[in-house]
Amino acid sequence: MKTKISIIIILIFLPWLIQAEFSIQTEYRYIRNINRQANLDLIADNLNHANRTADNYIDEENNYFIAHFFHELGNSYLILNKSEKALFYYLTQRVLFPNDSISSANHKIFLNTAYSCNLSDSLAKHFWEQTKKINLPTKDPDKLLLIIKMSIQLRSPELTAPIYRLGQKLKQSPINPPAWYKHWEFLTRIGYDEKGKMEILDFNSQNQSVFESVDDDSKNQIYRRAINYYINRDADRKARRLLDNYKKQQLSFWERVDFLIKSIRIKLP
Amino acid sequence: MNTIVLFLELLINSVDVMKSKISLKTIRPISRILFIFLIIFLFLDNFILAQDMAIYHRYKDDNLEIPDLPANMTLEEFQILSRNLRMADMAYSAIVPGYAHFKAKEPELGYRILGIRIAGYSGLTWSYLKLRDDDSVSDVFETIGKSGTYSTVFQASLAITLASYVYDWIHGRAILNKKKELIRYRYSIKQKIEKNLSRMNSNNFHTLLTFNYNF
Repeated sequence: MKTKISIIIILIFLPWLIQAEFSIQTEYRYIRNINRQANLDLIADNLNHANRTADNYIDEENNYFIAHFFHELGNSYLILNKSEKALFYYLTQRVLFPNDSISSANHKIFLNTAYSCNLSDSLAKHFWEQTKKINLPTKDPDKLLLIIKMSIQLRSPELTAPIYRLGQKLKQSPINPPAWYKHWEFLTRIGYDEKGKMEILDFNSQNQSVFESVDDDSKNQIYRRAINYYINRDADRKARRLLDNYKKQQLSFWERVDFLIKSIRIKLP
Repeated sequence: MNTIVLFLELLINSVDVMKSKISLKTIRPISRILFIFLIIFLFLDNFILAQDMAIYHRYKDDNLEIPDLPANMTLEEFQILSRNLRMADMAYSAIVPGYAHFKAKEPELGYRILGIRIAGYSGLTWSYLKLRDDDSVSDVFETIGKSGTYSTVFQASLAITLASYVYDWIHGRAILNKKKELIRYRYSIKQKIEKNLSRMNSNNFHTLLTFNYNF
C-alpha cells in the first residue's frame, strides 16, 4: 500500500492576509456599488471613510480610479440631497483629476447640482466653463486656488472644513496665498459663517490686512469678533493691540460700552 | 445556623415533592418560595449562563484579547461592533433614561429620552402628591382609569415614563443592530474587493515550498 504525505509550507503570507488601508480601486468600486443601490443609510455610513480617502488622494497624480472616485463621492452627496458638497467634489474632480468621459456624460448633472445650490444660471455655466480641461491653470497651487474660490462662492457652512483643508495643502506649496484667501482664513478663525464672509470678502483685494479692505461698519464688527476670539484664548497681548486699534475707530455709544466691557475682560485674570 | 436548617429542609422537601410524597401546599411558606426559586434556577440556568452571570470558571481574560482589526477602522466603529444590548442593560435602561441610545452612540436621542423621562417623573411626583393630599382619594393607584385633572396627569405621566422606557430599549437595540450591520457590510465588501484585486495583481503566483514523501 502506497501512502503519500504532502507538506505544504507557505513561505510568504499571501498579500490579502495583511489588512491595511483599502486601495483607491477598492474605495471606488465600493462607492459605485452603494450609489447604485441608492440606500441612504449605507451611503451616509460610508461618507466618513470616503472623505478621509479623498483627503489622502488629493495630492496624487491623476488616474482613472481617483477621478471616478471623486465623481462618485459627489454622486453620494447628491443622493443624500447635499448639493453643495456634491458640487464641491464635482469641482475637485474636474479641476484636479480631469476626465473626458466623466465630463461628457455629466454636463446636465453638474448644472442641475449648481442650480440646487442656488447659483445663478450664468455663474453655474461660468463654473462649468472655468473647469473645462482646456481652461484649467497649469500649476497645481493655482488649481487649488480655483477650487477654493469657487467653493467659497457656494456659501455653505458644510464646506468650511474641506476648504480649510485645501488651504492647508495650498500653504505647503511654494506660492504665497493671495490676500483674499488669508482674509477668508482669518474670518473663519474668528467665527464668521460663510454667508457673512462672502459679504466682506473682496477677491480683488491686494491688502494684506482684512481691516484695510472693508468699510467702517464691517471693520468694527471684525474688530469686536477678533478681540473676543483672542480674549477667549488668553492671547491678551494680541487682544490689547487690536483693542487699541479699535479705540481709534469711529465708535457709536453701544460700541463704546462694548469697548469698556472688553477692556475689563482683558484686565481680569 | 438558621440558613443551613432552611437549606436542608428545602432539599428534603424538594426530593419529597419530586417523588410526589407531599404536596407543595404543605411546605412552609418560606421554604415554598425557596423551592420555587430553585426550580426556576434549574430550568433557566441556560438563559442565565447565556446572559450576564458568569458562574462558570473563566480560563482567560477577555479584556486582554487584542482583536485583529482592519487598519482604517475608527474607534467609534470598533466600540459599536464590540457593544451588545443584553438583559442586564434593560435594567440599566430603567435606571438611566436613554441608556440604550447612549450605548448605541446616539447621544442626541438619548438626551431627548432623558428629558422626556424627567418630565414624566415630574408629572408623576406632582400628581401623586396632589392625589395623596386629596381626602376623597383613599389609594392613588385606584384613580387610574378615572377622570379628573390630577388623575389624568398621573396617568399621562405614567404612560410617558413607560413609553419612553420601551422606546429607549427597543429603538436603541434596533439602532445598534443596524449600525453593526452597516459596518460589517462595508468592511466585508471592501475586504472582498481588496482580496480579489490583490489576487488579480499578483497573477495567481504565490511562493510555496512543498515536500512529498512516498512509501
